[in-house]
Amino acid sequence: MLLLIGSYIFYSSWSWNFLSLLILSTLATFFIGNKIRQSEGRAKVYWMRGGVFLVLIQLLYFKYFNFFIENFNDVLKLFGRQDHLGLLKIIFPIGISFYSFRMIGYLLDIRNNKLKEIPALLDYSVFVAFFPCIIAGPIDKAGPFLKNLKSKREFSSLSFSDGLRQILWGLFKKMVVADNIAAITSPIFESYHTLNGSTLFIGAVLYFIQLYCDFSGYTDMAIGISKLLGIKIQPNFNYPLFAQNVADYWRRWHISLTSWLTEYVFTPLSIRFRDYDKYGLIMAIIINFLVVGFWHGAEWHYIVHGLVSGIMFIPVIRKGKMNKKIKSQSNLIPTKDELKNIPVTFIMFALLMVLFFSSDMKMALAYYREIFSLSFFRVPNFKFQKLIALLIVFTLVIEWIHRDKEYALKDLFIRNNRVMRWGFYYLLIFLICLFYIAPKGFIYAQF
Amino acid sequence: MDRNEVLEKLTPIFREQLDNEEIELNAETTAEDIEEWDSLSHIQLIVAIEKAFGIRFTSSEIQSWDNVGEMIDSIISK
Repeated sequence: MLLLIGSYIFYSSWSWNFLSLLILSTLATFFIGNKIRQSEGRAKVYWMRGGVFLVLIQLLYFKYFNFFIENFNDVLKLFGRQDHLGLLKIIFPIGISFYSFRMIGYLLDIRNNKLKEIPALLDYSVFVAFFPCIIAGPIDKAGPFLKNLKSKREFSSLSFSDGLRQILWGLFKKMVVADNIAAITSPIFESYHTLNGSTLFIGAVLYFIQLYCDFSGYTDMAIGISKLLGIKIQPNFNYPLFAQNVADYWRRWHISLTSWLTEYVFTPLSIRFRDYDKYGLIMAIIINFLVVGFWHGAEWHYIVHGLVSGIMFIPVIRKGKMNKKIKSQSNLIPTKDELKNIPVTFIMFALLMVLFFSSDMKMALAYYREIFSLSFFRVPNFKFQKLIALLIVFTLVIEWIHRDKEYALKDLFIRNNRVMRWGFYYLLIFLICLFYIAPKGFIYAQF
Repeated sequence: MDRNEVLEKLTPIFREQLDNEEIELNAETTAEDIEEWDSLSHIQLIVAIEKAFGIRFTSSEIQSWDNVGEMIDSIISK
């Protein structure tokens, strides 16, 4: 009960006017979940569809309504019509994309008999509104989360200190690395039309690292806080900057969203299209990534980002290389394969980021045009702070050394003496204080 | 066909589709236990099983399986 009240107070502090929407949709989906469990045959399917439709309709209204109106008006213009539909002033409820996906997952799990027991309303409400995860995920699955919530939680100093350590690493990545890179990337993106190709390329690379540190920093804090409460939640990142190919990257980046989509979008579609062999898989993966793009927002550049991500998967599927999972390594010196694959994958996804951070397709296309022009070979015409490069290298080295661990700080200096370990923690705290700049919101809180 | 016979027939299909000769199946085996069994290879596996047994699963059957044992139940029920 305390967790639920705390979560609602936390949500109200971000978006008090939408608390009632959160509570109402929690009640509605809980009721529909019960109906799905009780019904048989077609009725079961209808209740499930009705529930998913209800969640999607609120998501579509708040997040996508104006997108459809704008595009409808563009089509009217194409046919020479001067009249147009007016846009609505819709305020976006924070966290709606995250909690909506939790609700849909819950309903589908009941329908597919994956959730063996219907939870109590109180537990379900905590699952939907759990405060560390409501703003920007991870998007947990109902089964493991509820099992965890119900099991007896006892205080353990080991897991408490583990949680604190993860929060510290998350804070460092967010406040030192991400926010300070943002101080470089923001002016680059604002004046991109005056900058040359090499500068814009560095801007894209920096943004990739910034987004990773921002989002994985948030996630580390969310997981760390949950650990303090004795609740284990799903991981969201597994060192994606060190991915070795496209499939490997998507197994490491925003894991809770990609595994959600794999289970509820890609798998059902690929089952349906299975008679078309690899073409069926390609169709399913393209639709899956279009949903990823659209999930991020009602903007064409997100949708194209999703489409390109799906297209990038085609060679992997055609080669049949998708079922060769890369084992996680812990060697300090990179292997030949790592030296060859990691930089190529990194640059590929850094370039893809242009579609992500651009404010619209016009900016993305102009940005790409400049990167792929001869000005790429010129000296950057932007003054970069060298200290930031040092911070990035420091962070990446720590992450590289411990890339087989849950998070980079987990076992760092654990076996060494206490002075060394605490010295390192104090160094991180010192760097956080030193590089602290006015707090910026989390990038993923806008989705 | 009893459960053991189905399991015996499934093992070489898994080995061939997932390209791993060391796979040993039992009723409790899940995708977590076999590294090569991921969301993409899962579909190829289903198509191969349907072909070998001359059956057709429904979408909801496929999505309800938690382990190989439940997959065997579906095959026997056909």
